Amino acid sequence: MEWRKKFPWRRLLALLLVALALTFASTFVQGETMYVKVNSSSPDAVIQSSTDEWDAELVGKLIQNQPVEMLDKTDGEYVKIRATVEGKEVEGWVKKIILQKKPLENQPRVSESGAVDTASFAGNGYNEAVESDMKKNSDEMQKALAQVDQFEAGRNRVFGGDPKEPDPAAQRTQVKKFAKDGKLIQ
Amino acid sequence: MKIKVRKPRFMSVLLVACLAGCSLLNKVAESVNALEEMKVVDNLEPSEQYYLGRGVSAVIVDRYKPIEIKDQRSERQIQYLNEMSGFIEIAAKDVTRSARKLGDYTDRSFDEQERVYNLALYKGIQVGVLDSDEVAAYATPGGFLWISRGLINMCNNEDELAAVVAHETAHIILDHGMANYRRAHKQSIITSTLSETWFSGSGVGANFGRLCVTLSEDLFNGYNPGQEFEADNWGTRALAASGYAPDAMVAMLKRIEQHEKDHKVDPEAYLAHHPPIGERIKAVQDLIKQENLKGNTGTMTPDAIQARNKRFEAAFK
Repeated sequence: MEWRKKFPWRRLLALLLVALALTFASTFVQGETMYVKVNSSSPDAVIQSSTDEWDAELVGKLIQNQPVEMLDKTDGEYVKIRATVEGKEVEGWVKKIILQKKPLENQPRVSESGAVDTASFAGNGYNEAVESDMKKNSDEMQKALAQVDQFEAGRNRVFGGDPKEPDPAAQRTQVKKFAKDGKLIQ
Repeated sequence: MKIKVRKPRFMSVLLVACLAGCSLLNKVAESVNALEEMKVVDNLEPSEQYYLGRGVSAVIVDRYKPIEIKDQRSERQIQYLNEMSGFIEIAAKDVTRSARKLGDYTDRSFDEQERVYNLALYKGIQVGVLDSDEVAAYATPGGFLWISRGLINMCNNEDELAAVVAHETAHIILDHGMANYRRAHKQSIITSTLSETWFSGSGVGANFGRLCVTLSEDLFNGYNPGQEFEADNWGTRALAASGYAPDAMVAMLKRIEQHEKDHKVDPEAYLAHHPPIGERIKAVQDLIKQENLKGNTGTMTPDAIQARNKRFEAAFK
């Protein structure tokens, strides 16, 4: 019975508490609504049938600020969700990093005076409208951004999408083919 | 006998601790949530990083001009580079998770480390080619990655090009661009000579423009030495994780070293912030040796190497 005296009960208790802490401190709560923070053209803006990076099937595509309902399962960098896609309710796995607790708002971060003020910094808002305002202030920037637009449109076309948005499904298929053709994966 | 008494005591202590713990943990969770809200203060949404990256990219393409994606060859090149970066990003996800093992090159706070783990790119990584003989590559916040024709021509095979792409991808994945953005904001650096030439007005748009131009000028000098060492480290590990030869990173750095010698490049003028290339080569060689990094057996067969080099030649030579 000597071992029972020597057994580190306190350490075991501490470990149990840590395990509990990790369970309760989880960012995701079942039933909670979260919002997509990436663009629909991101390769990550998809719902997968499983957490297998290469073999999962695409269940649906997500758009920015789309609400999703958290389900009770997580697996590594993935979390299981329920969402409405094209009028249908679907369930599947998404990467945790594309979700946030609040939808994106549009408030300017750069103040009118140009001062780095924390209040404006705390808002959200480097966006299309700010970029548009930036272009009005500089011919050089306007011309240069036209070249970036041209590049993005060309790249998007290559990935089977319209010039504004590449198709995430096509991107994933092509990346997988690239890896297979180069004998980097089986 | 003592044990019989202790057992119920232990169990009741455990039960009380659990109940107390639950209440305490709820408070901890509330604090964590509050801290998460505060993080927003100096962090940008993925969409904002993307617009910042567009602004910075605009200054880069104004200086170098991107290749036009207008024919089969240029489309193939863009497709090739974007597929390669997409693959490396996926294959190297475990490298990112073990970012703490990257070496103590950058003094990253807990919050900054969390940002790296939780980095989400608004539209993924977008790779473009700069139509220039100069040897240059730039990674901006928000996922834009620009590689010059001169640097691509310097690569002898696909694995060497993968080394370039992996190094630049590292700057994006490890949040280096945003770290510099936060530093610039903390120091209120949002103006430079060029930014004042491009923007004379005031208001939100002009100030955002000044910020983009200033950040791009910073980028032209290269990332700081710690960030470069870290990108070499991540890139080399990513090559191994992707099945490419990690030695390709050493080969590329040696080629750049030779280029600097041949062209008598003035280190003050060319990527002024970069550490001496000899030190970078040694750090990568040490890493490969210490971690015993090597390409996957299946990906290093003559057949596999030939398949990769054939498509590399077809796209770029």
